[in-house]
Amino acid sequence: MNKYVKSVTVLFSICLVIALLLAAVNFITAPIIEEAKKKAETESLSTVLEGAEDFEKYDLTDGVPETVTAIYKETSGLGYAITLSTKSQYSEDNMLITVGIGADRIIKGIKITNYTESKALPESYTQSYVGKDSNLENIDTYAGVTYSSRAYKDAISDAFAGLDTVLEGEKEAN
Amino acid sequence: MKKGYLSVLINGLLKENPVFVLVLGTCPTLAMTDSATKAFGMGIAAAIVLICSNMVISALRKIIPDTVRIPCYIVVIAGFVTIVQMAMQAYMPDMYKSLGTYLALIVVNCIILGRAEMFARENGIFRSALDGIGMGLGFTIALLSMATVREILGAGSFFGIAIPFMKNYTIPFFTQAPGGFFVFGCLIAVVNVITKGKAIKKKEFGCEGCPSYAVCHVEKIAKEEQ
Amino acid sequence: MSQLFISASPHIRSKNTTTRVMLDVIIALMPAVVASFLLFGGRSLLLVATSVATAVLAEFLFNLICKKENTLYDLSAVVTGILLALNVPVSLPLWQIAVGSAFAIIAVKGLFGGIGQNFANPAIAARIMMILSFGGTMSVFHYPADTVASATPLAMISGGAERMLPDTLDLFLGRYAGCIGETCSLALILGGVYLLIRKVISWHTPVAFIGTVFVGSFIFSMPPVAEILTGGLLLGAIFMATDYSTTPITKSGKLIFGFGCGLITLLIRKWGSYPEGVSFAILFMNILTPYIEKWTVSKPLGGAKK
Repeated sequence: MNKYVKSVTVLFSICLVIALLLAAVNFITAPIIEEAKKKAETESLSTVLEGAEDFEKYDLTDGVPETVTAIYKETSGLGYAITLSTKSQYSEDNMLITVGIGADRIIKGIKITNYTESKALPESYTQSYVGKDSNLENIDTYAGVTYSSRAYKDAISDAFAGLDTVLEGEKEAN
Repeated sequence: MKKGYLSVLINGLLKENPVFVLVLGTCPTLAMTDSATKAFGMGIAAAIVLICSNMVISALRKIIPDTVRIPCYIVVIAGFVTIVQMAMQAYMPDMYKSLGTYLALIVVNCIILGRAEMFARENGIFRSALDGIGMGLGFTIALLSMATVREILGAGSFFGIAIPFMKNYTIPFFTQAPGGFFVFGCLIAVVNVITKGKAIKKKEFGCEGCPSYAVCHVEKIAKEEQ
Repeated sequence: MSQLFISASPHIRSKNTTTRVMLDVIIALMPAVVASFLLFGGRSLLLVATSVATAVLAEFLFNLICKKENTLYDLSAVVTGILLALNVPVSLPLWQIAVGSAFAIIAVKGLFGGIGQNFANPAIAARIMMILSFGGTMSVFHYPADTVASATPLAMISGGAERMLPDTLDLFLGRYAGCIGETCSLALILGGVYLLIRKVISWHTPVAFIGTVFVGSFIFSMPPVAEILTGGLLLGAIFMATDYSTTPITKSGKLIFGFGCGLITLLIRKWGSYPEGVSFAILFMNILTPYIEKWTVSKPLGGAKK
């Protein structure tokens, strides 16, 4: 009986000490890791909104379209960055898009961060959206990649819709 | 047997090199040697864990009862691996990303548990630390040598820096899995030649054929329990 | 009494030596080499020459460094060199075939103990290594005497474009895109017949191999004639699935071996992602050979039970 008590005690104490040690190290390193993550996120969002400094994330309220995964407000008032996720035609991976909309409701930049279809959407098409506003005039689907380009267009519209919903919610709250 | 301090240290470099002689820790050896930076990172990370765990286990060797020694060793080793993981994620994020899951797998790296069982259990803290340094260095050198061959031949670069005249003459076979096994086998053969085959005793089946037979305790404990 | 003399065995000697056998194989390969020249131009001869030269040099150096006796005279390095060269497209860079050739001799043959000890056919293993490494250059095929790359018949079949296949006479004579030695079925069959006459190979493996693919392609709804005349099938079945050290010795073993190769080839061609399955099939069956031999070895009559 004694043999077991000793074994259990020793094992327990070692676990306790190690756990405390890990808690201490985590305390030191967790903030650094958080910051690095945030910095990477900010950097990737900055590519669609030039000159951006820092971003604040909005809580997504009801009424925001499903494709919108996150909405960020750029802190110096330049505008907003919105990340979207929409279904691709053949693959299971979704198409991920980040779009930057200026405070003047005009698209400043778009980036596709994940695209797994074999036929690519050419840059001439994807970048043709830049400079347009929420009406997305004169833009059609792209021949040969109809499904994806339609999904793309719908996603960008959703970005505007989601942004409007969130901004309205913010206005009501204030 | 009580060897001198220096011989404990250099033991792990060649004569009992954990990768090429004891053939331990082959999983990271095959996975992390397609580039020299990965090999170096893995080697140093494992070495740090090895030294720390060796020292702690050696310090606690009189306290830990035999029945629970394996769980205790694993808790200690896992603790150090997690510390290294967190530190790397915070201070060296690029290296952390390239090591991926293999960083966490250091917990089950046979070298660390093996040395804890074979050396730290019986020897003092300072000796265990020296053994850890020697084995860790041996591991890193082994990984680096494999990675050098594989990266130069397979990707035409070294530590990520492209070698100018190799650019059009790479043989991707070497960075792929079969190439890894091939280079591994060749290097074991080379080490055999260098140590004139004395490192590994003649091949037999059963316990006598194992490279670690001289320092293994499994038989001793089995006899004690009879 | 003075006519009788005593000598040690062996008392019956045949003229069969390894060199003799290898020489026969080289002769049997000549039609295919000539065909490759006629179809694909002088570069194919350059490829063959580079491959053979590297193989011979590799064997010479390996034996020298490992302090073994020189085995170049048995011509097996030459055979490996020719076989490997016949298995590659005409546009392959020369340094790549040199690498493959060296790999075949040093890694697959030398490191395992030399001739007779290799676990797999060196040319097949080296070809697979080259597919893994040089995937791009190993899959660029030219229609003979053209410089524009085109698809092989097997690629057409797996892509569903069967209507675009060349007609059967073209397939037989080799006027289609593929590796330099595998296209001309006529040349390969000539070589095969020569080997059968010289009793270097027996009919079991090639017939089992080709037969399985032929019958199987009816079952799996692939065009049978195209399947057996294209890809590395004839080259593999006649020259590589009959390699002495890597295929079963017993007759029933050979039949099983041929059947297995044919089955795996069909499976890879029909459902695998490679249009060509012969190399992998032969390699796989090479590895199974010891077990096939064990299974089919004949019991000595009256032998004691273990």
